[in-house]
Amino acid sequence: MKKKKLVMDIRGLTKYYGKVVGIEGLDLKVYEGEIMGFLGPNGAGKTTTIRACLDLIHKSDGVVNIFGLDSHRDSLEIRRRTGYLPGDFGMYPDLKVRTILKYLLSQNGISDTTRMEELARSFELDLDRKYGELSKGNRQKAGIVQAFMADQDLIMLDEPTSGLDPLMQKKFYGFLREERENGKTIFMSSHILAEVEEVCDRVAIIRNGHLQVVENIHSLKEKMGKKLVVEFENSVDTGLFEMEGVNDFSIDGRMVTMIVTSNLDEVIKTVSRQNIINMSLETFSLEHLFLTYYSRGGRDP
Amino acid sequence: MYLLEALGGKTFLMELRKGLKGFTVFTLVVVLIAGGMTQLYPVVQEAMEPDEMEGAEFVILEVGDEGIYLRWVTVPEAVEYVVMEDSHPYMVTSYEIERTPENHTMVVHAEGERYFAVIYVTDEGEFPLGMVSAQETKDPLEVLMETPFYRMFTAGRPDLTFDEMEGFLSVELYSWWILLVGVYLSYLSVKSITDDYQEKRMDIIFSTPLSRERYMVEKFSALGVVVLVMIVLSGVFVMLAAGTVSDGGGTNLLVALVISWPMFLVIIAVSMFLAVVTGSSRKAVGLSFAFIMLNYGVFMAGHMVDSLSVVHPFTICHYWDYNSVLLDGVVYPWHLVLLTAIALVVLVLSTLFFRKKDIPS
Repeated sequence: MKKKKLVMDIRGLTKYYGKVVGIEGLDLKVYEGEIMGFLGPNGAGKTTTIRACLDLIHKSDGVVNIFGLDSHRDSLEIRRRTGYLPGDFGMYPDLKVRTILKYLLSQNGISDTTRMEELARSFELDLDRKYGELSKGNRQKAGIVQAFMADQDLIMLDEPTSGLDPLMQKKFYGFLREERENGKTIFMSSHILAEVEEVCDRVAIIRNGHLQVVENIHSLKEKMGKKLVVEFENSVDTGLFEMEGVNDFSIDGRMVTMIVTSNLDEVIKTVSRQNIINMSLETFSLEHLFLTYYSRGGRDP
Repeated sequence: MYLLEALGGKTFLMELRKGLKGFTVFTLVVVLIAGGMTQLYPVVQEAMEPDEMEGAEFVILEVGDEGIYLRWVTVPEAVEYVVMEDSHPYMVTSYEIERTPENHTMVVHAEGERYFAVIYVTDEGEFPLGMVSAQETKDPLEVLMETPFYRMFTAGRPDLTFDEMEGFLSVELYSWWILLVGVYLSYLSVKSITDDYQEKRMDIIFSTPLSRERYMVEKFSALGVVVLVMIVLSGVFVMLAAGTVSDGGGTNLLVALVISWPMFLVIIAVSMFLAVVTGSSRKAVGLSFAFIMLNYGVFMAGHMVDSLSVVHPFTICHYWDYNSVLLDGVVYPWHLVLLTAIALVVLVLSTLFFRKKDIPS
């Protein structure tokens, strides 16, 4: 199996704002061609991490290598190869979007505006309007076009769908998948669990400046297990389900609820030996997983 | 070299484009004020000329040891002359001191202001011949210069006179120039940085491969070019306008303004430094205004209060010696070099500080 190329290698990244901890001891690796979701509530340290990677703020400690380059020393080269959509941004209100984007594109040494035009058309953005006249959603679209127009290898997105309507969000998710297919690496912070679940390959969860978990979304869900609810015709012996892979067993009359983390085949066979009236098997959502992490203070579920 | 490269850089051009409207209005206002002031010269010059009394050319007054000797032109049809005296030039309360058929008389010395009127009498009646004063008439500009407040505006040149356009413009335009241009320029310089903070576009700007050094240098260059264009336009306008109302001035009027450019480079650099350090428009604008006012205030007050003259060399105004150009036709190149060096040092400091600073989100 071909080894995936490391694009972002963050080790022990720490940023203090005076005595306040922004992020502390953060370790994270992002590989080529993946969409990494960076999940956490407001103030958890998502934006600080991204901005430290781009040297917009200076790290207090730790090592950040992007494309094998040092985030501070080689900041210009990193930014040449990285697109970025800030979470809260503005542009020049009195200038046309086209003028602004061409200026930003020219900073990357690009004068060909074909991709910019295509992206604007795709996201239904009028380039000939002044930025100050745009709605919140259209400003966000301008930001998205800006992040992707230089066709860079790595794209960092901070809350990218903020202000987009649901249809445009769907379109954006589809666009992200296309970009991944084209070999782009995308590092995307969000507090919207559904969007991370929909587009990301892996997720990193951050809380109070500390990384809680980094995992493939499917593996994470597997780890969380499935919720099995069975209504039996008659009451059953609880001892039946004392087996490997069954957790949080509870019984309410003839209704049995359990969390199955492994050995599902054996559990189903055991259940089916009884007379069943109703049965459901639910996969936990990322939201449940996220809340579990937070309620447990970051311990493994 | 880096500065030259910055001219035409993308951020340099963006700065010009972004601020085009403001720069144009600013330049227009300054050019109109500068040119307009020049057009006031004939009016002011006339107002500054000593008032000549009516018929003064017909009456001559000489002060001698024995008294005041008055003589006047002979009017053929006059049968006699009446000499009136008053302590006021309007002669409302005048009284007769002499009635004589001669065309001269002697008046004794006395304290206070004394005005004399000669009236000739004919068979037809009495007619005024002329008036004269025993007071020495002063040039109104000299009277102004005697007041310490007005002396401030001479920049240490007591030989200034409104007889020449240069003297007039030195007092009425060049002595105010730093305030006229500097205050708005410092505001523009501060806003060129803090607007990028406050309108939240710093992150996007610096997500491109643009170094912080380049950003600062290109902004500085853009503002430097804007103010140079404005100075040159104003200078040309002043020169042309002066040519329509006076013979004097010429290129010295332009050169005296052009050599103010290095002083404004210092103001741009200081304002940008304050913007980077404080990150706040309000604080940076306030502090840069204070910097200009302090420099101007100390410089001006130094010409009024002798004890303050020792601090002159510590003000940037001291090194913009417009009077040496206007009055002597001399430019001191080391003044220009020194101001440019100060501007560059402050710019380097700003850049170093900016490199170490987190870009606020």
